[in-house]
Amino acid sequence: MRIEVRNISFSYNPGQPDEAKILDGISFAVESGTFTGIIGHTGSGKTTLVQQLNGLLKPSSGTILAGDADITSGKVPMADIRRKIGLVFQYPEYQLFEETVAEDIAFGPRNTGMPEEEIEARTREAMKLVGLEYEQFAGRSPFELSGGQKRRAAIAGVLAMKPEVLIMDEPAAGLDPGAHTAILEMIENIRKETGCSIILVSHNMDDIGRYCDQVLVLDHGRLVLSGTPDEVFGRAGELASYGLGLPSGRALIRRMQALGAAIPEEGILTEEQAADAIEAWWKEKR
Amino acid sequence: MIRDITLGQYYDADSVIHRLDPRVKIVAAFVYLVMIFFVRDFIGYLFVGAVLAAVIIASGVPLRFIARGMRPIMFILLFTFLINIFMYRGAVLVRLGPLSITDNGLKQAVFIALRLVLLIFGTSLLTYTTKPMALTDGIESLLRPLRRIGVPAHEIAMMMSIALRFIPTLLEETDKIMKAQQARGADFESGNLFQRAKSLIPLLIPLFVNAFRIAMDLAMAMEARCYRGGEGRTRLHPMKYRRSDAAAYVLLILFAVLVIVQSRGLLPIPMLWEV
Amino acid sequence: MKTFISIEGLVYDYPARTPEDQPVRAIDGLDLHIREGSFTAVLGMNGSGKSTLAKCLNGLYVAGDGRVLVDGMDTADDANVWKIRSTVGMVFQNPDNQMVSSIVEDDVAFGPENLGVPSEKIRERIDAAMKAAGIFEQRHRKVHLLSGGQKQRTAIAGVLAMQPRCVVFDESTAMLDPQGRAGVMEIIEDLRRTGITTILITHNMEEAVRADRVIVMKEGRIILEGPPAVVFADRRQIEAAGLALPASLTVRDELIKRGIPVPDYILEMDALAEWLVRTAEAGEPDDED
Repeated sequence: MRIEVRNISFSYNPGQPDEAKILDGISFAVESGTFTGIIGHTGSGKTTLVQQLNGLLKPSSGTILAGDADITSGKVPMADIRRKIGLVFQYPEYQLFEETVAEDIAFGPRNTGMPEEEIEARTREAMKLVGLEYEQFAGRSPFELSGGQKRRAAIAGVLAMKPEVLIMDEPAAGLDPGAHTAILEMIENIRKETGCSIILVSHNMDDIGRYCDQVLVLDHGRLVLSGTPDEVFGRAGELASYGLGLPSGRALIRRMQALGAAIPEEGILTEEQAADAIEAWWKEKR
Repeated sequence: MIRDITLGQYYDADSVIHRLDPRVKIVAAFVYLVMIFFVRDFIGYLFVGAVLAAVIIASGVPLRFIARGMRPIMFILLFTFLINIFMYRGAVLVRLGPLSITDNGLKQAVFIALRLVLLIFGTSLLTYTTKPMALTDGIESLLRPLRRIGVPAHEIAMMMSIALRFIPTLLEETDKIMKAQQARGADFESGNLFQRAKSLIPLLIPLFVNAFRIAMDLAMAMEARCYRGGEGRTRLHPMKYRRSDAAAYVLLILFAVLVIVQSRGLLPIPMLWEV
Repeated sequence: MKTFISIEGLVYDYPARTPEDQPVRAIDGLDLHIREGSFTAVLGMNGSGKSTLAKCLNGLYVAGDGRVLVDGMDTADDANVWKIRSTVGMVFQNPDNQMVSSIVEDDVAFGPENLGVPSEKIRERIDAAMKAAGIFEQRHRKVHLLSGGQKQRTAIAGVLAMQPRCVVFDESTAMLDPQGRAGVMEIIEDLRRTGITTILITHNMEEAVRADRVIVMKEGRIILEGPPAVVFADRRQIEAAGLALPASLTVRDELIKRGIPVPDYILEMDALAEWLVRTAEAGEPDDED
């Protein structure tokens, strides 16, 4: 499902003397099945923006189209929107509440009133997608799981709604490096298997560079840059002025350029790509 | 929604009221509270209201700010007003089917609403003008004489200050969990009372779990910073009575005497709309 | 430099939650000596016992077996507990959950107040601590309105106000954004310059590379330790511990695979860039240093 955001703004206490403008005239589109990254430092409006996308917050002005439906019109039932656009909050494990993992994951589908067999099928499917063995985990209390497993269970709770767009706010926050990589790989895998589009909010430029097709940069509630990762990370100076950095590999190449090396930075987003570029440059040099 | 909650929070300013010793303000709030229940007629309310207005002006806390703190309890206010307005016998003013509004009912309803507003404005002024730490220190110091009969003065004070500190944190947490469950299709707004109460489970359980987690973390952090109860603690802002505090006590006594005398009808002015 | 913290044969069990359960062993016979003024990073996956270790360093948890000495004081001895806690300060992971007071400076004063420092002296101490942690300008603000980074600075100031000789950062950067992390790392560097012993528990490899010494934990034991160059050279163990290499070393490995002989002592990105450019210009990489 395609999402198109047209010129949305959002304020707390609009029209009051203490009006606080959080989002200001934002427009972009997320194509079906793609991977979009949203970056910006804390307080830039990222979290507010993603909450607009599934109707948890209503924009003060502007429209949001999900497929053909205008979700800001008030005519589309919210339940439909939230089913189609899944949102996984930061530290989602803090919303687990049911007695068993399976019950918790079934919470979303059950709210939509579908038949029990369908709910169970979805629960199994969602657990498979996040890598939790059904036989092993379904009957356990979510509060007994390890940190990484809790997070997977919470993500499964959103996947069970079979969203066409999956929004994730810092899904790897607080995890150790092994679990971090595993979660990101899992998300990419979900996109490939289900064909849903992913919107990833992250501070980690390496993740953004590695996985995204499109990057949106927010600063003080405005969309200040957007494009492919290569285009966005090509504007290192501008990014720095918003308090943002580069993927490690790209940063290394920039550093070498500053030291006088004639090495192109275009297309470099990962460590491996940086190594390839350095190898080519090294061979030419010697 | 979360941003509207100002009740029980400190408003930073440098006024006569802010500078008063916290003990004075706590005693004053307490006396004021009792006095509100002495008042028996409109002139009494007018007097208490005028004194409160003077204190609010002296405190420099904007009225808009205090009024915003009322928003969450608007419902209770309206509810008690409506209950009372139909509850009393007397000369009928308006008849609405089986219900009727009487002069007594109207008077009672208005007075109870006034009492609630004065109560909330007055007591919230205490937290608006007193830093939580000073408030705790004040309560602790005032309760200290009761320690001999086993009142844990320090612990009560510390619990209150922590509660005040964590109001915003828990509200944020509530907002977050609510949104997260709504994103999974939870509906907190429709259905009958029973359904609504049941729909709160996905909110309340994580909230309790998180509150316990916060409490454990906080206890650990407090111990790591050498907290061991009230024994031997010193204060960044030690409490010391000054001349302005003495003056405030005198004014407070004067206020109490006036209210009592007036409510007993001992002043040479007639009572107005007495109940 | 002398040993400041010495741990011998430390064992720590979390008590069983129900009568049928077994106690859970978090630390399983651990020996460790930390020198005064050093900067140590502790790594390990979630559940490896590193946070438990941190809490054993200032007597929040007391050794089930073995012993922990802080500047010669045994943490198991009740007489030492307050002295030890003011000597070894601790900054925790969640910035919100460690603030006692609603106002920055009141919160910073909490430690000295507990220690019974006279009022005039508290003011001096907290002002110095807030300046050192870069939060002095915000001292009258409410803590819940601060950013995560500012909250963590407040927590650090609260610890520094106790004038500790050692500060333990228990995943204190985990919940911060890159700017917040960078701010905490700067403070750690400052503390190190003033001779304060620092111990940083972290998941972030880039932070660990900056330490004098890295300790890798797994299942309650130390499986690897030494200077960053030595520890990160052991790819197999690093992977077994559920960790990753810092990006600089990932690139270095890739380069070595491609026949570019980057030496072992190159750990950080800047150093790598410099070495590459310098060596390519010189044309004789193998003779470097």
